[in-house]
Amino acid sequence: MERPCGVILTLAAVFAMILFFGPPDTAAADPTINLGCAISFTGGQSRTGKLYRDSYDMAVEQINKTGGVNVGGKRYQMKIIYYDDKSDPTESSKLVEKLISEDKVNFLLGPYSSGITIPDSIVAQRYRVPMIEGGGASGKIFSRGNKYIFGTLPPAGQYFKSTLDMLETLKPAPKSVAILYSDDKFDVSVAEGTKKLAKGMGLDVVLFEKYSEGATDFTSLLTKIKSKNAQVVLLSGHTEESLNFTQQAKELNVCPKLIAMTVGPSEADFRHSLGKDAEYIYGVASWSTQMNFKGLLFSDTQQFVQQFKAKFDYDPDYHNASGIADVAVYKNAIEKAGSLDPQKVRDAIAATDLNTIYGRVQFSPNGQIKGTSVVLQIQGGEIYQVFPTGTKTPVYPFTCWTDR
Amino acid sequence: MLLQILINGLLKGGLYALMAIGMSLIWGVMDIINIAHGSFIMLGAFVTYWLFTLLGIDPFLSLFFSVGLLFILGYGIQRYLINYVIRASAFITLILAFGIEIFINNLALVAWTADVRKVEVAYGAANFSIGHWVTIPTVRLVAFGLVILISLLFFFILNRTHLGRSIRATSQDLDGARLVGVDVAHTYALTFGLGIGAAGAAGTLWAILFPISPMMGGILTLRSFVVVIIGGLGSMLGPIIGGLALGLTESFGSNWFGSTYSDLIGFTILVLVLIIRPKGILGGTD
Amino acid sequence: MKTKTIKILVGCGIGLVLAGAFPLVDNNFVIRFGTDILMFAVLASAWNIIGGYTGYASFGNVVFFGIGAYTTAILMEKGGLPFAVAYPAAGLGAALFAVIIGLPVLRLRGHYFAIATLGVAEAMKALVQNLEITEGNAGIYLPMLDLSVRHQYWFFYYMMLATAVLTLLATHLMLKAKFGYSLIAIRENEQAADSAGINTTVAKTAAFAMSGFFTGLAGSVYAYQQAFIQPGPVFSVGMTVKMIVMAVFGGMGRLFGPLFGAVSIEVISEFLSDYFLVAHSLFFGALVILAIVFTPKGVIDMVTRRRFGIAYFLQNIREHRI
Repeated sequence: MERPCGVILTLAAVFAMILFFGPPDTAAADPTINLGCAISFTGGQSRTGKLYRDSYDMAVEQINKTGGVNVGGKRYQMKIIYYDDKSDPTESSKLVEKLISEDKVNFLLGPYSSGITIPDSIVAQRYRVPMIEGGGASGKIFSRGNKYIFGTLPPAGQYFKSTLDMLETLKPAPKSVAILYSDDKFDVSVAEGTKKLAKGMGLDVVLFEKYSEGATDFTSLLTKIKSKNAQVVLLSGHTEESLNFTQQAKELNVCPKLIAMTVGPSEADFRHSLGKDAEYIYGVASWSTQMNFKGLLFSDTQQFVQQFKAKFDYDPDYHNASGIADVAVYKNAIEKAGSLDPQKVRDAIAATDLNTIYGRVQFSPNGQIKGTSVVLQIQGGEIYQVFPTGTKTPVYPFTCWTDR
Repeated sequence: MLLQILINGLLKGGLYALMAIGMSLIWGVMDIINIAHGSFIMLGAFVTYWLFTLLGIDPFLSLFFSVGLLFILGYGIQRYLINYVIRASAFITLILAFGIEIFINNLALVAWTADVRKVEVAYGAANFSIGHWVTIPTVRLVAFGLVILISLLFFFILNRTHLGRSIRATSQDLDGARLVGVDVAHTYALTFGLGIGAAGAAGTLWAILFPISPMMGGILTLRSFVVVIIGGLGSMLGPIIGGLALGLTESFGSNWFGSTYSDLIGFTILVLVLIIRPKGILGGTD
Repeated sequence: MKTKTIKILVGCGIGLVLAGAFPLVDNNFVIRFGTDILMFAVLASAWNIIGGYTGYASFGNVVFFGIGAYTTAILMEKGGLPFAVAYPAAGLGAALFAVIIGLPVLRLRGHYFAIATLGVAEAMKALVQNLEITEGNAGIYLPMLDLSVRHQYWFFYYMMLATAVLTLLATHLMLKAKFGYSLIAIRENEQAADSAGINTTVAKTAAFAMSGFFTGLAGSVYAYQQAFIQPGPVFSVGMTVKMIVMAVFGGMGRLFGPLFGAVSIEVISEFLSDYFLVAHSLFFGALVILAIVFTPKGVIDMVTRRRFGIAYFLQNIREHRI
């Protein structure tokens, strides 16, 4: 048999050790507002997670440089406490718990991806601490009447609306659409919304198919696109899938008249990786670097883009801008509330009407931002906004791979 | 269209086969399930990526480097790590491989960040058409040819060389091989090196065809598993049959049922093959 | 013998009192962390029944966890049933699945069994991702427990503690009974066990079902605590690997081994994550490698034999190298 005494004493010692790892000493001289954020540093989501971290850090630095946050006449510095959620929702919700009950953070910033945001938002709801997130747009996050979650990405179902609107302006206007989407929450919402919109506009949806998140092989789907002769391909997925799709479309020489993707084209990585094969691919985003908004933390979008590039050496995209807006909304709401009381700040966030470099931020009653998306296109290795207004006009139809 | 799906499946299957050859060899000879296999493929892919990006070495040429470097790495890991627990239960080696996997993946993550990278060669997406409906991607076809070549090379090493005889002797009877003067530890390390070298080759081809990132290994390990099981252990033909079978099923399966079902189909077949023919399609019944 | 029994009882008593008093700490995160540790203790101990005692290395035990979690979610969310019904149903559902899948799969041995169970788990994940009732890969919400935060965490902690105690108690009783000896006989030599008149099929399947039952219960409590589950995380291979690592690290085929492994691994990885924002997994990997090379019999072997130091490590290496 075992020696349970020894085992249990050791276990007890270990438990005592856990209790010993108390919160790290934060004996700061200046009063500080702590924002807590459990986000992906490692694992599958770590690449996009970094985009948010960069933005959060930059926004907070900007706030602290320009006098901090004014709460009822008192100046506060802002600080973010990070943990690595390992791209795992269980881990993430545990860490949000840690942020609230051990680090006693005042407010929460969201993680990346809808699947991780939901369990995190449930913890925020339990403790009645507001969480503003810029990385989850699935309707499912906002479907449960959770009063403490606010999102700055526009509703997924409307994502391709601007693209569909653009189709009507093209000559000759395409008639048949293929909608491909990854099976994660966000993309399913995008696809279902798009299908409804497309049918309402009298377009023929010849292919409506999902693939597994993280899929590397698109040859079967591409073969179908070719045989159904779809003129427009709308792809709602993630960067790696967009890359694979494009590469394999070229390999199999499949060239519809228009290809549009949710995630990918707006990111610098995507364009560098594909080089000239990325040309003429359309993207859709809630934001682009060609926009121009006067903002709270930075004087306008262009100034932000410049400063961002100088600091991080890559072009910001809508993930980054959304992250900046999250922090800006906090500063504004805390100052309006004149208090750090979570309840008062929550109400101030709900009543937000703020100009940021990301655009005007107002929340619907369910907590999601009111907003629309714009159409982007890659031309000459750069991404340009082409619809509804834009610096360039859309190039259509798509020049086939071999004719470049 | 059916012909195109057939070709897609076959070419994909070739890549799967190459991924699985190394795993099958290591498993068959040493009874080690190398769950770090995908991580070694990832390393092979990054060798190719860096050689191409920094030195401009053609990816196909870098095959020699990735195979060579991974062979040395594999030899070292077997000789100075796995060898210490080789006689413990099969679990221990399994968990050790798990530790190695976490270590390698995270080392890569810390060193190279989680960015998605792509080897951007001019011929990366070259293709030629036969008629209107069938398009054959050239790189995949070349990769397929290489798979056959590498398998033949393995076949030659195992059946026609002194090393091959030592490997086979060791896998059949460890103590017996030792008695007749085979340096068992050395043979094991060479086998592991060969297996990992094959993973390096798969990594190189993967890097030419797909974007790469430090976390790509896990799913590749799973695929290799399925291929090894379907094909059965103990013959060089096994992984090829298994790879082609999986490639074709996935292709046709996702055409008929939708592509989210491809995992369901793949793993269901795996379980069925195990239950009906535990030694693989090629192996005899028990 | 008598004093040993008393010692064991006293030891277990102290352990229980400590574990029971644990949630009095004024820190909900620590309670939540304790719940997570207990969850892994249940998972690793349940794995120990089939993997450690019976010698069948299940590489797909997470399938029972997922089934438990999804049974709970569907019964509560779609069926409107209370947790008191969903909890046992989750365990029974998982056990039933274990019987159905166990009958064909348990005929396989060694690695083949391991991979077949892995295949079952992956296939089940893919199925859940495609079903309507599970709301596919998008995930499913569960109703939230209507209590104050602190009471919620107490509830989950004590549920998990009860599940853990139940698991260990059942394993202990099993070992005392003839059933336990049958399992160990199967592990040591299945053919011999068969010729000695043990109905190996029944014994193996029962052990698998038992393992599934407790894993399902843990999945149920987990789902209720998370209040939202997705197929990816609850059917992840990583979770199975974690159970096995914990059981092996602690000492498999020993009653308290998996518990010990769960506590030490969770605490170590939490400690590493606290100090290294990115590199924690790197150190964790290194630790697993070192632990396996130096203490392949599990840390509990070292603790119970009071053998610490280089000599013990080197002896292990000498025993297992060639």
